[in-house]
Amino acid sequence: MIRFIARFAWQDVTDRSARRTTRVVFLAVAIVCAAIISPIGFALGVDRVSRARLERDPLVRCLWTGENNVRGRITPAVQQTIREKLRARIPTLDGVAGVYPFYNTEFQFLNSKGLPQPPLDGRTITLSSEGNDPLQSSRPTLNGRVLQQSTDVGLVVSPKFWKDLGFDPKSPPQSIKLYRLADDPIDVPIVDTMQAELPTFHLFILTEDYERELRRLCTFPSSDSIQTRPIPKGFPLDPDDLNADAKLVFKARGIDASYDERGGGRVWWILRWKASDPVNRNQLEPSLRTWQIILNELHSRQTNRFASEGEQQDLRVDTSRFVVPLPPKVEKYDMAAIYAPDLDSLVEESEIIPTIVAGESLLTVNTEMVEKVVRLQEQTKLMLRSLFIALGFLLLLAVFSIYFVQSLRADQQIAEIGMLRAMGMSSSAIRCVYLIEGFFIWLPAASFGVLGGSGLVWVCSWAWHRASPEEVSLGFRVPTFLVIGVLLGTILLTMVCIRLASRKALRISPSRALRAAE
Amino acid sequence: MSFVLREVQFRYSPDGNAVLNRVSADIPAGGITAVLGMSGSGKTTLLNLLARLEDRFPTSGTIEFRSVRGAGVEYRDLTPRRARELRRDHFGFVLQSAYLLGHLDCADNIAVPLALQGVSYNDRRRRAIEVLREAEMEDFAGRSARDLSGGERQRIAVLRAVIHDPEVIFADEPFSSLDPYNTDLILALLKRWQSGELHTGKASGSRSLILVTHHLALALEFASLFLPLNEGEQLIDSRILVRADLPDDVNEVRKLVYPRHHSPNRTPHDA
Repeated sequence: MIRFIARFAWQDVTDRSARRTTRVVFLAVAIVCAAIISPIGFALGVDRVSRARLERDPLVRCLWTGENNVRGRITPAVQQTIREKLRARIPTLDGVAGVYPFYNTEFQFLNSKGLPQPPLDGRTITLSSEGNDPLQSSRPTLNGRVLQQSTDVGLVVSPKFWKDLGFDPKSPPQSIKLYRLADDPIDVPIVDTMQAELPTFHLFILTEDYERELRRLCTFPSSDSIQTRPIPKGFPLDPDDLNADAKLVFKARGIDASYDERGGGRVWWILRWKASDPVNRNQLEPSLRTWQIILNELHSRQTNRFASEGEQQDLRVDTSRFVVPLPPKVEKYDMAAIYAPDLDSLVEESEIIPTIVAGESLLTVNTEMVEKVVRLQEQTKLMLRSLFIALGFLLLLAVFSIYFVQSLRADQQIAEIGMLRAMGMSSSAIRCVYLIEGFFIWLPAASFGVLGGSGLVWVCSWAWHRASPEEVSLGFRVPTFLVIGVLLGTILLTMVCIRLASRKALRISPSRALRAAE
Repeated sequence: MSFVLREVQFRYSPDGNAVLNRVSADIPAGGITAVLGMSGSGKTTLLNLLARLEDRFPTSGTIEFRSVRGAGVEYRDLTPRRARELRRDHFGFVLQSAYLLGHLDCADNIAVPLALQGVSYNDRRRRAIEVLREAEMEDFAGRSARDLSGGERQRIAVLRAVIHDPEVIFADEPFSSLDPYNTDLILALLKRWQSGELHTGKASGSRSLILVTHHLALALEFASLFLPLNEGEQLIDSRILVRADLPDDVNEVRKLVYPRHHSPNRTPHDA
């Protein structure tokens, strides 16, 4: 029966010998319907913001979507509030503030005047400070400072570094803070290599100048033991390398004659970074949010020496203790958290923190960004208002059109329907015929409308911004929800209109329908 | 299926004239019954009531539908659903206009009753072509209904009415717009169905044809039972008539059935 109904409806719609006027009316209404749906697609498409951009900086997210996801609430007053909250979050500038490698943020330092320093041309170096560490022996002449985070990692900075930062190299600050989050600073002590023994550490990040100085000073065989390599791009994080087991192996061969027991051995580290994805990272404990450097201590403790070349191949490193425990890859984003975050948490996580820390003068970049976002937002708001007003009229027109056309069809087919009812066709089956006929007409129109609307987003974006929607943050994506929404809306609208329009044909008795046809 | 009418009165509106008034008749199963009368005499209304095409009940009186097994159901007790099933499974219709579905071809049009019964497309198409072949119209199978002449359309309508082998076919003025040649063809088809030549599923006695027509001579030749109406009332007695109850002369019958036509006060408009 369903096949009969569908076939009946399809053949009726595609009947080439149908009246010309009817076909013209159908075509016209389909075009109107497409024209109606196109702006809907356009409006919704325009209102979409690049998620990637939003995720990159929560404050942008906030500025674009507005506080608590209410558009248009980022007024200048709100912007001021955000700035004040940001400042309140930043501790007193008692030294040099930097941002610990986090997100995709470059390692950034601000000098004592709050001006950002160019990125350090750092290099990694692997050393050991145990025993007769050549580095320590060179301490008196080094006149350097070591920024030590832990026994695993430290920053060795040269006097020039302090000079660059605006400090007197002879009286540098006692510590600097590196910020992972605004409330999660890492207090990095400044270790004076002139006065204190270096603790055990294995990895340094040092400036090129310092490295040169170090090599000059450490002429003892240790100079050969210093093996450096440029910091890989994006080190330690590569946001694109989600959940990948990133590995960096640093080798130090023939460290020192005094390291006989380790001669020919290999010191190697495995870096694993599993939490480069912002969403994953946010679910981690703060202490786990940083990268981890793993030293193959297990083997050395067991054998009192590092693994040889051959042993290296067979060495099974217990990596479980080094792997950051992560939940399964988060497929579903908590959109409420992303688009309607708490303002305080936005401020905490914002990348704007490091630049705002130095004061108002550094807000120029942010202001520009904010202004751009607000400008786009205003444009969009105006555009949406105009569109929604037009859409209101078009929607009414669509409803009337569908109703009118379906009523017309019901009247035209009254004889056939009367005959079918006389032969025993049920009302529900007849309603089904009308519905299927309606969908054959309206669904293609809706589909074209969605495609047209999506294209319109691009056209308007190029017309206004000379750029793709993606570039101007007028996000354009394959509008899955939009397609589904519009199609569902069309189905609903069609069903309602067809039901209303077909009431007449369904209510009258077969005899009256046949009489009406005569 | 037989019909038992007792004092049936019918009005389209409560304060309107009675379209049917005190009509009583036993229409037996099998045979051909001709409902005769002038325009407005209530023939089509009676047919609509018998076929349960009306959604209104008779104002008074009863109409009983009796199956060949003798079980009967009263008009008022027939729910819309039952009525629909009755029409679908047991009734066929040949109306003044064929009311074919223009976008379907002839075979599909003929197969519509089977489609409504849920017969698969291939089966119903095959049966439609069989029926066309029996009617010597197999070359019509793929032709669009829209391309047919009036007579051809009516012949297709007859085949549509008989394809599911109904117990009763209601024919309302099927020849009114046809020439004698097509009239004869359609009559031949209906006769073949009634005599069981088109289908062998039922005994010939169980097929009834209720024919509403102005064509008096044809009705007298074709029908075995007669129900003449005049302004909603039976002309003779309160029963159905056989040929013997009517005058032998056709003109006399015409005077009887069309009394106004022969009235001394007849106006030119009546003609």
